[in-house]
Amino acid sequence: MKYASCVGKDELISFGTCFGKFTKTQKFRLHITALEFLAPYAKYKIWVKSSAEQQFLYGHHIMKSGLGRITEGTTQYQGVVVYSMNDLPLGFGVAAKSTQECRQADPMTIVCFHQADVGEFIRSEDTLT
Amino acid sequence: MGRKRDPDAPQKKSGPGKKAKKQQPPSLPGLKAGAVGKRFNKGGAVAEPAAAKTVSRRSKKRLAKRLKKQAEKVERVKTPQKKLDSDGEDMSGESSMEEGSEGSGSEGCVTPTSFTDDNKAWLKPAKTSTLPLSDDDDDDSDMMDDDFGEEEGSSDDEMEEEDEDADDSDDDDAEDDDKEALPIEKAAKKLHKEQQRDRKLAAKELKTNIAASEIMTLPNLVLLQQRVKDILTVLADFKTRRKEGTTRKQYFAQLIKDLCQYYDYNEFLMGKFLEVFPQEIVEFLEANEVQRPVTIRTNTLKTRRRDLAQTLINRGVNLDPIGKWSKVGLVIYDSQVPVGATPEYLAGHYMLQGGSSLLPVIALAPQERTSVSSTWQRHLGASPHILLMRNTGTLFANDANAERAKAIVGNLHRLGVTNCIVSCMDGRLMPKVHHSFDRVLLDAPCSGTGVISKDPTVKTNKDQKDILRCSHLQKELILAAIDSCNAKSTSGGYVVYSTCSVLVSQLPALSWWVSRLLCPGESVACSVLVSQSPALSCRLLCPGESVACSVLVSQSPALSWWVSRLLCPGESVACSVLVGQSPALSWWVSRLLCPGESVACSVLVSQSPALSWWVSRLLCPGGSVACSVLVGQSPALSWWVSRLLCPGESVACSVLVSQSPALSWWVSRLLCPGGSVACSVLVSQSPALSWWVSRLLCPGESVACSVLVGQSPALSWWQSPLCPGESVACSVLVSQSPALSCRLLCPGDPVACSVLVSQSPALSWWVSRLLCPGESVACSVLVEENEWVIDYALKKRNVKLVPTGLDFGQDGFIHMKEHHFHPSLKLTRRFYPHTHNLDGFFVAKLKKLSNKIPTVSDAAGDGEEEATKGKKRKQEKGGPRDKKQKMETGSDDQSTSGDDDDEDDEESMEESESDEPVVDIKTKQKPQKSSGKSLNLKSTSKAEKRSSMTSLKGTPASTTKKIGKTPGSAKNAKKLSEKKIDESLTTLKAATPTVMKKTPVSGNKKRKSHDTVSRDESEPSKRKKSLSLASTPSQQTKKKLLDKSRSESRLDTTKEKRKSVNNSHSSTSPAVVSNTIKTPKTLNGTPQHSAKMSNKKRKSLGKSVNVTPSATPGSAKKPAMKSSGATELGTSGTSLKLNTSLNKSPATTPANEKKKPANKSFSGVLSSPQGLSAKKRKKSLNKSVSST
Repeated sequence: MKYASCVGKDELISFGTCFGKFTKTQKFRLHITALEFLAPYAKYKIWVKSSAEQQFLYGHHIMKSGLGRITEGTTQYQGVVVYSMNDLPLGFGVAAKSTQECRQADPMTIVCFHQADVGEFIRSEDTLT
Repeated sequence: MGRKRDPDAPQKKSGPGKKAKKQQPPSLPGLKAGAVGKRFNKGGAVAEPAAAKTVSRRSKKRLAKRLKKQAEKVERVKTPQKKLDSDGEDMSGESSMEEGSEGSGSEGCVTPTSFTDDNKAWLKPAKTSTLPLSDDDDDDSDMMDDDFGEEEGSSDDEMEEEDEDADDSDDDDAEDDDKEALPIEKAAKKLHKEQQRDRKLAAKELKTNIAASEIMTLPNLVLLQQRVKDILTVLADFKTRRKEGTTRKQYFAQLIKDLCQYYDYNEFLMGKFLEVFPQEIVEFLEANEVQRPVTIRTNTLKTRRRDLAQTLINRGVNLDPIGKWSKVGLVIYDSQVPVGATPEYLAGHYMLQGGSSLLPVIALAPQERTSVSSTWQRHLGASPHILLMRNTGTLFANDANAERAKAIVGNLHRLGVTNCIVSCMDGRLMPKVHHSFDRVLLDAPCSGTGVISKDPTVKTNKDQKDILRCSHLQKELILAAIDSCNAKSTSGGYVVYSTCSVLVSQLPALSWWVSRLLCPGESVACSVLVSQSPALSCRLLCPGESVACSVLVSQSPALSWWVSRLLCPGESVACSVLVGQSPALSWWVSRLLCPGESVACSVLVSQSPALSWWVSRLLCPGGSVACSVLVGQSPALSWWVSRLLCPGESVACSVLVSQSPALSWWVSRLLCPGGSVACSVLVSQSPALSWWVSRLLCPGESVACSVLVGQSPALSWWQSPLCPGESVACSVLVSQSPALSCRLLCPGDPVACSVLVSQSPALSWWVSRLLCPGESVACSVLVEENEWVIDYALKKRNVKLVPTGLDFGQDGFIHMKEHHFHPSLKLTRRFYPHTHNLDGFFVAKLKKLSNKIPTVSDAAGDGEEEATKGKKRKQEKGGPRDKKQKMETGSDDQSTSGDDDDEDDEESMEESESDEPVVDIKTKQKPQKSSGKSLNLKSTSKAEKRSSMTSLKGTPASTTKKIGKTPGSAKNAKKLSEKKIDESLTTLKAATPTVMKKTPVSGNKKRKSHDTVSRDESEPSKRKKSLSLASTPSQQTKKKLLDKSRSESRLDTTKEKRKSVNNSHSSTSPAVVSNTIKTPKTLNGTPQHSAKMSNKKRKSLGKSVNVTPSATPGSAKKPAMKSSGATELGTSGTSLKLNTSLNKSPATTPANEKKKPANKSFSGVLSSPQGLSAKKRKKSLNKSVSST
């Protein structure tokens, strides 16, 4: 990283990894770039069905119908890591419903709010860092 | 009216014309007359020239008819035709009659003068005459119309019709006017008619257009293809299959034309491809038409290829491994889902990458825990090779394009690469930021000729200029890459260069290319592209040649200069200088030098110091000069031009810039024989700029230029042609940041170019020129992309090529037309679309040998240093491969015709050993047998090798005296400027009668100084020769001994050189020394002595020579001692002595013919380094002088 100090401010595009940014309201919003680092340590996970994968990757929330699995004991508004069914980390989300609520939920209800997904690597290339 | 007629004349005719019948008596005479007059004028104007033409068959017929008619008329002469007797008609009729009769001439009507004179007496009554005349007139007009229509021929049908229309409309108008004469209606009708006519014309045009375009497209593709095939078969066995009388050139021209037409390329590019692929051109072109399959690269950080392949197959992707050479590549043939949007892709399991992009990484073979820099200039995809590093070490990714840099960031994060620093800057500044990378991957921007299938626009939009631009950029980038690489790194010191271009050569700070042929058929091409601050481009284009230059100076100390010129008739010059930023300046100059030539200059200064000037000029006798100086704002500028254009003409221009950027410009010139040109530009203040150009255009003219730049970026430019058999000498010395020197020296055109790039905004300058018919171009810009760049790097830096680690692909070129590259370029790899189903690609891997960068102070002359270093290294390594390589290089170099670097050495040597290449070979092979050491002594570095080789060879280069843009010549330029040294040299010269004269001494100063230089260089060689000769008699019996002695003496010379190197770079050279393995002693010896040496050297060469052997105790063996003794003998003695010994030498050796040439050649070998060392010495001298 010390090499980076050689480079001028204007020239330096990126080094290291950006985990996220603070919002104006002082809340921390994770960037998708942090996924690789956080996914292995995630406590709460959500798996999405392959049919719903694309939906999520295009920035949509996860419906009950797309929900494959969910970690037991997830509480509402708990930050989660979203996985595909073959354990590919896809992004971050916030559980809209707790595990219990999910069980009874309507298929069209949102169970997980979208926060970041790997599609952003392409969609928002400019704001990654 | 009132024109008298010959009563006998045939006019006595009768019948009213067709038209006359139709016409009603006009009521508005004025209008009518006007209309009719118009008509006739029209007709007459066209008819006249037509009639003047030779009589055609048709017209003959017409004539006959006319005669017949006349006969009839004569019969009916008396029938009055009152009807047509109106005034208007008459008037117009007469006038038209006049024209008609004059025009056709066949009428039989006499010229006005004749009939007035003859018939004055009785031919008074106007009335009587008008009657027949009017008739006649009508007839005439008819005929005229006919004539007009027919004689114009089919080609002018439209015209005729138009005319008829006009006639009709006029007539109709007349009628209408008579009756209604409502202006609006009139106008409307007119408009309507016009529209109709337009429509008709348009339809006709359309028809003709269609026809033409159909004709254009008709040459069908099948035919074309067939012809291409035929030509190729003919060319494959040209001798037997060719048609008598057709030359290979013709075949090629046709082939190129056909291929261009068939595949939609431009001719330039096709020519290039034909050079590269003489046989397989069609395959190559076909391959370019086919899309390369998509290839992906597995991200080994996240997945394995097998797993990835499985998942992708599950998604309905049809794929295959790319080949045995890659463990990570997959080729995708077709896919049901977008490959760039699968979750796997997004998750970073793979990346889309051209197959060819995998290659450079394989070549680079980065290892764990290394720091790697990579410069992408083209979307190679992000740093895949880091993956091999397993996220250890550091990757420094640089891309000049900010957009792509962003993409790289995205890619890297997606792939999970965490050890990467991404920056966006000019690759050439890389060494400044960080310069101790273990490995460097340079993916240089290129013309994209390897990826035509991806981007077909390359086919048509690339020309010489683009290629050169790329080439220059690449050269600079590769130097920067090499500079930023750390030679001492344990695992590294490698630079991989890759481009996606298949051409042989491909360069932004500043580049300058000039090539020129001055005789008929010659062409000049210059392109200077300065990408960064001082952008500059110039260009000269060929017979009916034209010159276009544009200088773009973008940044604060904007500097732009451009000079181009064509000397033969019909030439034109166009220059444009655009200075971008604050002192924005643009000027444009165009000129025709032949009779009727014109000059147009415009300078537009856009911003605050607004300046605009425009000059136009006619140069032919009685020419005129027009100058205008517009000084807009604060820095007022005035420009004055005066000139005499015919014999004895002179030009004087002065530009005075009064305010802050004071500038004065003065030009004077005589263009005819004995003309002279003198220009001086003095720029006084901060963006000091001065340029001066002068030239002699015809035999006997002289040019003197001086450029004095006062302040920070001091620049001086000097040029003088010395003609008849004119010669041009230019030297540009940029003292501070952008050092530049160039030189042209001719009769029998020697060209010397030297490029001195001193600081960050590296600058290179290329000048080439052909002065008389049959001359050759020293710096050709025609073949350049990959190899050329590598070759350039090899010359400029202490690097060598190593195998790329790719076991497929084709070897790089060693010879390409007139280019001869370093033999080790065989180690580079080329990949072609048609053979490897990859994108066209080029990969070269360079191993950096030392961190020392030849600096400007040493001029590019550090070729010598490199040489010595190369020697050292070789000495130390002496690996078997080195040997082999050397063998190779030796043979290759011998086969090459001297594209040599050190012209002076060569020149001095030419005469002495122009004979016996055979012996040379012997002598060269001998050391290989004798000892590894002597072998090792041979330098790898190109400059050294070449000079020695050429001296060995006695190359035909003597005939084509070329001075490359080499260090040596650059030095020469310096020398030229530094008279003191020259003087000291001349004293030396005076002492020793010149044995070999290479150039006729001209009275001119410049010439002289050059001579002195060359002679001086030959001096040491002489000394050496005497040395060798002195030593040889005792050893003549044993060749081996001789060789050894030679090697030792060479060693000595290298020592000497090394000392000088140490003198200048005492800090770096020890480091180099530490790298060495075998001869540490010798090396250790040198630094100690270096200081002393430099002093002593100045005083006497002999002493220095004496000291060097002592400094090399370890390596000095018995023969070495002998040789050193000999050197002592030779050097300690006076130059007179040397001469005597030299004179003696032929006497001593005549008996043994074989020996003698050997000796000679050997002495030649010796002399070249010696000559270099002499230069070194001079330099050190200079230094001392400057320091004092």
